[in-house]
Amino acid sequence: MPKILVCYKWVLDEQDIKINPGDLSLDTSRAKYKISDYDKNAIEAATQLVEAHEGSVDALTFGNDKVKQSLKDVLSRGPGKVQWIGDPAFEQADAFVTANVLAAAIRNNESYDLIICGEGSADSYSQQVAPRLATILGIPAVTFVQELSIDGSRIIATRKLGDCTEVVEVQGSAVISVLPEINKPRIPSLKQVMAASKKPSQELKIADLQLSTEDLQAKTVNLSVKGYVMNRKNILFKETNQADNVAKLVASLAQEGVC
Amino acid sequence: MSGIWIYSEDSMIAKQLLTAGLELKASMGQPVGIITLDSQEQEGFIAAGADKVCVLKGQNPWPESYAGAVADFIGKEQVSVLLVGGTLRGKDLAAKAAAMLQAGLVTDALTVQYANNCIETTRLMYGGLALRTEAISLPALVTVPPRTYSEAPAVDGRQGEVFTVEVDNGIPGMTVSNVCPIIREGADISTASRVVGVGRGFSKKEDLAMAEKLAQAIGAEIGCTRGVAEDSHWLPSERYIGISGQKVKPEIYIAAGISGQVQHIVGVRDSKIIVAIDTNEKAPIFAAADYGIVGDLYEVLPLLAEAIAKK
Amino acid sequence: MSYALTEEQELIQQSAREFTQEYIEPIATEIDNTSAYPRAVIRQMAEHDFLGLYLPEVFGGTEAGYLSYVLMIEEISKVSGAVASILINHASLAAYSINCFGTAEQKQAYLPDLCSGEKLGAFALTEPGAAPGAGTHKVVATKVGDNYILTGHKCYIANGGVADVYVVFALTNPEAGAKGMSAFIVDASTAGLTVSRTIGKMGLRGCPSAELVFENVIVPEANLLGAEGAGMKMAQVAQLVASVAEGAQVVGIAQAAMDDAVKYGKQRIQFGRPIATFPAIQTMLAEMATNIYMARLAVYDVASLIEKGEPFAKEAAMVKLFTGRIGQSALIDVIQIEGGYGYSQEMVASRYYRDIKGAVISSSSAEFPEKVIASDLLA
Repeated sequence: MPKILVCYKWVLDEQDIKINPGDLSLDTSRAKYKISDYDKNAIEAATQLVEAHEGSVDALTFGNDKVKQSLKDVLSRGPGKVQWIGDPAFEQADAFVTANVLAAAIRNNESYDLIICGEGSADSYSQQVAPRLATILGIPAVTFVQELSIDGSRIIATRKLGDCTEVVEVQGSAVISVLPEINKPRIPSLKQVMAASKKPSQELKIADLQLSTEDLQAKTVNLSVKGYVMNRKNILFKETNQADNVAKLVASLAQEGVC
Repeated sequence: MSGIWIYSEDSMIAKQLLTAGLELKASMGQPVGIITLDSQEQEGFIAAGADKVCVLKGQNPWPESYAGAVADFIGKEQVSVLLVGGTLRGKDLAAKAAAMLQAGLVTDALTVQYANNCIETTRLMYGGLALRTEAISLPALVTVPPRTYSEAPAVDGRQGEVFTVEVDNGIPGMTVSNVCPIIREGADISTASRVVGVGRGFSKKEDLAMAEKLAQAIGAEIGCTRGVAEDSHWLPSERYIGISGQKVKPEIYIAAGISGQVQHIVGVRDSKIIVAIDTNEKAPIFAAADYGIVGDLYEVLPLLAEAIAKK
Repeated sequence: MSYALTEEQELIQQSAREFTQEYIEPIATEIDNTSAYPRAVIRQMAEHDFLGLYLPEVFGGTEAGYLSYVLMIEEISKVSGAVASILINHASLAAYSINCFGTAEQKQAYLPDLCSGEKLGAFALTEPGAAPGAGTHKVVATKVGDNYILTGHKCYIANGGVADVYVVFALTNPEAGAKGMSAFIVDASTAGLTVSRTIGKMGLRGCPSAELVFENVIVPEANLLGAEGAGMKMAQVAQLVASVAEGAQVVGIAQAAMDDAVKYGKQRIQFGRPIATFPAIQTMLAEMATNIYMARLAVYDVASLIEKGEPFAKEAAMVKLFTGRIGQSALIDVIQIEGGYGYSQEMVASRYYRDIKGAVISSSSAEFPEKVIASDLLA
């Protein structure tokens, strides 16, 4: 009967973000928020474990004031309750701060058998929070997991690392970060959507979490964020006869020395 | 605080990072060293320009278990900067070490510089849509993707300090086993000099044969978008090029039937020449390409393969 | 839009959108090409609680409200008008009738299966040669002891042949014309009830349309739905409720068609520029976008009325009237914009065109929408 915690992030949907042509600044005015994609895999992994072994799944998130919009969304995907911290400190927070805040929130609860995170967030993809969190909590981290199972109090995870896979077993609690290939997150059924309203959500305030000013001070400072545009030739061949287009392309490639 | 150090469980990557390390040495006026798990490489590192080499020796062979040892070393030596090879193992270790040191860490930095008593880095955000420049206060940890820098060349006669540190890196309660290499079903596309990418523009798996024919004609490997690998399973996942897949750096990348979402483009942006073939003139791929043909790939690919074969 | 959907409604809309993109969009063209009833996808929809979305929880429904249901229909219609029709006939006509007019026993006997999707419902009103509301129907239900014996033909019955439960309208008192019509709940497996043929349609292909033959079909009196003679009135109410869902269907199809036309307009170059820059095209698109926006607001508003239990007949008729008009004109313009490309069978716009006509025709009220509205105004 594992007691599982899933950490998730409420992020801007990068598909809605536009780049202003002049100064390449980002226009997020039309961007909606979503649960970070890889976190959905984490939620799904937790839900599947609990379906196999009973137990419970709690959700935890640290975000800005918009994070309240995420609660019913996350509750419709399996967790039985959600704790949330919505604070302006989030805007400047880096992985160091985030891990500190999450760890402080977790310490307030009874201990979890398993904490599951996505391997990285859809917006910044730093891939740091899970291992940092584990280190602060003094438990092992097993990252980049593509297969996860529990056997009593043992966690068995298969990691996929570029050139090899390995099986890591941990006796006791651990933080796991999962790869997107671990599962296909289910689309919440409409009954699950309706049931989400009846599940509890609890707000946590940063002031109540016993964090020092230092803990909340980011170690990395944002200097600028600009649209990343590649400068390419953008030469389009648009003749009606494709054979002509192909001939022109091949000639250009020959000139470039690649063909 | 002093010293620029480099760590990777992969010695080749460590030598690549040495190039970055030597740049920082010049701008910061501090010596550069390599932390390694491999005692065989120490001479090679010195020859490539490292002032010092620290060999960590523990009883646990699992590379990630050295996080504590690395953190201890960084803390004791009052190191200013640690560059870590951005393999998945490296990122895991770097984050744990950063947590132990309560230090900042930037992942997948494209550039690393010293300025204003900070390390300044650039990296991609939002799936490759944006470039973020940030400053990390010292001590700073940075992971750098493999092949961002080329290996520092070896020079005979260089001298340096080599020492070994014995560490206790056991992790009670954890076992690592069954380490299996991932068998690639073809060449490693991340090192291929020519790549043809396939996307959702293909209606069925059998049609990929057209792309294969083109690839054969130019001597290219086949890559694909995430959907083709992960959703349709037409190709194995090691062929998937994109933000959470392979990054390719070929002379020429031909994208066929690929719309060009940022998450894919990130994987091919280092290509020397990008060619796109798609029916939709407004597809983002054309903005990312040097050359493009607006047309039906079913018509264009065979023509292209033929034209190239004739040359 | 600023129309205030609740969090649940937005999440239902989001889930419905994810579902349709994942499971229906990939097979929508195939369904249209083959006209094959998409049994597997209906099963998946049932598993996702689509089939009893607004029906009472006590019978296994999700009780999410009629507006949530309409939002779901709109999302489905954006990818497949045919699948939306299957659902509308099941939920807004068959299940609605039983839920609204049935006895406790009837509801208990039929709604749980209809909510879970274990059984599919259909609404058998239309007959060859019968004008709506004119009292010229001919299927007869003769009382014999504790049963009714049904005889006659029904045609153009949506979900006909795949449904498990039919709400059937038959004359218990042929002399009284429309006032002699009653409604019955009939199991598809009842002896004497057969499907004589399925009809190939212009659009909404995949939603079966069948001719039913009733040859001395024995229906127990416990399955008389509502009072004898109340059939026509019940049919009207059900059709008005369905009209709102059909309005959502029209809005969904029109929106998808318009998005397709916009994409096409930006891409297609004529005389050196995208055709979307030509005033004639822009006028068509502006008109269409405005109409769809207005239609959508009306659909949501009337769905809210239904959900709150407020009077909705006139407004539902208005939705039927308006969406019918703007839906058809939107699609005519979409095909105009897309020209030969849109006209080609391979392209999705031609399916939208054929489907929207079907969406507009279905459930033509027992009385025409204008009549319903005028009667209300002049009362």
